[in-house]
Amino acid sequence: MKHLKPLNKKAQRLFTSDKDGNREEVFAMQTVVGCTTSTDPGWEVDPFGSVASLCQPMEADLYGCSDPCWWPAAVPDTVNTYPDWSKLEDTRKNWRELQAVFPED
Amino acid sequence: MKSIATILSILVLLAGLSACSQQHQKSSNISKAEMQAGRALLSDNCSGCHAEGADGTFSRISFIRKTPEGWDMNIARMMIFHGLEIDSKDRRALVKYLSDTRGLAPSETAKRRYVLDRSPNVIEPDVDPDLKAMCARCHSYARLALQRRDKKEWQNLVHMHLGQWASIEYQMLARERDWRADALGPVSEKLGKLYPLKTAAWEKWQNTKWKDMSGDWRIVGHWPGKGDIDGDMKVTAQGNGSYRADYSLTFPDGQKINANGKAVVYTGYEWRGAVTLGDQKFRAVWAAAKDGNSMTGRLFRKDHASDGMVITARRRTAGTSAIMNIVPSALKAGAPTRLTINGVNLSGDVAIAGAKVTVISSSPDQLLVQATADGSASGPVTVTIGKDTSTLAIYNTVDYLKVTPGYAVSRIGGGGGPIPKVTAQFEATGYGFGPDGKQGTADDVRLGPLPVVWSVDNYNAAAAKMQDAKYAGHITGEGTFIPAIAGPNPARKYKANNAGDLKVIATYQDGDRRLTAEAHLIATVQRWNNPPIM
Repeated sequence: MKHLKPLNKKAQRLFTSDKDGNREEVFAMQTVVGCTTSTDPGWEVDPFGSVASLCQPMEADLYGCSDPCWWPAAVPDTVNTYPDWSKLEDTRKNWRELQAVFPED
Repeated sequence: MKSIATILSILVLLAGLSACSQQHQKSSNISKAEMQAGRALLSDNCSGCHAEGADGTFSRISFIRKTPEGWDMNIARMMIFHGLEIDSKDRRALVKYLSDTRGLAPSETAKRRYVLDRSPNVIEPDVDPDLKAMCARCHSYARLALQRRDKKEWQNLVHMHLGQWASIEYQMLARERDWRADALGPVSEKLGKLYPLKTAAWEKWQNTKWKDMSGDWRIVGHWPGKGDIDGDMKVTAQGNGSYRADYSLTFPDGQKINANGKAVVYTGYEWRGAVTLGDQKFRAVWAAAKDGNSMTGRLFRKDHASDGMVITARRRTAGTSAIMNIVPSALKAGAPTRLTINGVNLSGDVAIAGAKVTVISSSPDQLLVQATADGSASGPVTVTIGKDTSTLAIYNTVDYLKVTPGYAVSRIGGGGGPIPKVTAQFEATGYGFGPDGKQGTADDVRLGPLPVVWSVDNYNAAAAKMQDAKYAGHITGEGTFIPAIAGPNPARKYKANNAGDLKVIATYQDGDRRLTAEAHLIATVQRWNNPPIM
């Protein structure tokens, strides 16, 4: 770490936390049950626990999320599991056609 | 002699195989007919892929234990991944059979009930950091903690993830660590040790006589934002763990509602009910205590799980009595206050330490009293009815206010799309400092929910710049944040969604004093994958 210089807020926190022996805590994004924090940003929150750094509107790039299986716990992945979910031509216009995928009893 | 020894050996071996087969399916709580029917369903629907062994086990299935919701999600996964076709009746019957024969003991679910009963906005307690990093960045921690497998089966779950989600290693930061080796090695090892297939708790629960839930029940509940409910539930057994439940409830607004519902009890204690109250469909997810005479959990709206009540139900049994709740739960010194005391089989003299009490009406279920605290006591005091006791708080002033949940998530929805909005419900609770006169210490006294004025504001400068408070939604007088509609919003910069980073502010006016408290609300986007266990 001594040859690296932090460039953003998260790196700065990592830098100081590393000195304090709390490095692991920097990695642990925490939110409430049902939120997906993998890949920083998560699906619901950005790396700073807010929404300002999320890609919005998410409909503009939704298939960029579902095709490579980003956040598959929240957004249906269209590689293996829900191939038909990506058939819309323009999710910005047709997002209302996107259905929930869990088959209710 | 040799041939006799050989025959004896074969007999011993056959007896062993039979015992082994029974070991996977034993339960004195399930009838032979139910066992045979359940096994036939497994064979008919699952054995095409899940090979049946000579010992009577089915591959994978016999080496996993789950909750009813977990098994239902398993069947749903087989439908999605592998094209399983199964009708609803068989799906429900399979969930029942699997939960009864391969379920979790009450002590194994006790810590994680929040995910089963859909408690909103829970920040999960007691999570293992390694397992959190591996599993709980996509799922709830409870999702893994409510499964039981040995190491090999946990490894199979890793392989399933690798096969199904091709990019998982990259997503899970595999460029910086050997994710696959971690997942299959130390993580599976730890999962197998923390959450193994065979446990003393499950063994003991299978050998405990599961209780019939029939009878007359008394119900009390709290509905955040709305108030308190109470009523009765008459439960009638319908066979095979199914029940009819006749509710008679008084809602917080005084409305009396009678409704016929139904319920199934899984694994001897997992009460799952369905009932329409008024014009709204509700679901009950409750756990019965070991003696079968009380249940706790949530009763929530079917399509809006965040909107619901926290319930305690108690069976009326001869010779037992109890105070179940007191509404309101605090008395302001010097102010005559009407209290409703709910319970079962209540009788005897009523007394509240430090207060004068006049009984207005009385029945074994409920007492209505007028109480005036005389100022001789403050903090928690004892309430006595006959031989039953409970506690109530006496206070002079509300010292501070707290908004719960302190951190919440709502989701945009509707707007012509099929995904409903997910609201966030807030409640403001008053507290006293307690004897030490300090806020936030162990002796603070909870005084109960208070009527407040609700508002929302931008959480920070970035939110103010995007005008989140203007676009993300609004909060009602009951503390319900109703998010705005889904979809790109042409009126916002970048046509952003109606997401927002907000603070929720409660203001309580007590004479000339004004108390405020805040919570943090992330008003975020919808999700399309919404299984019972996130």
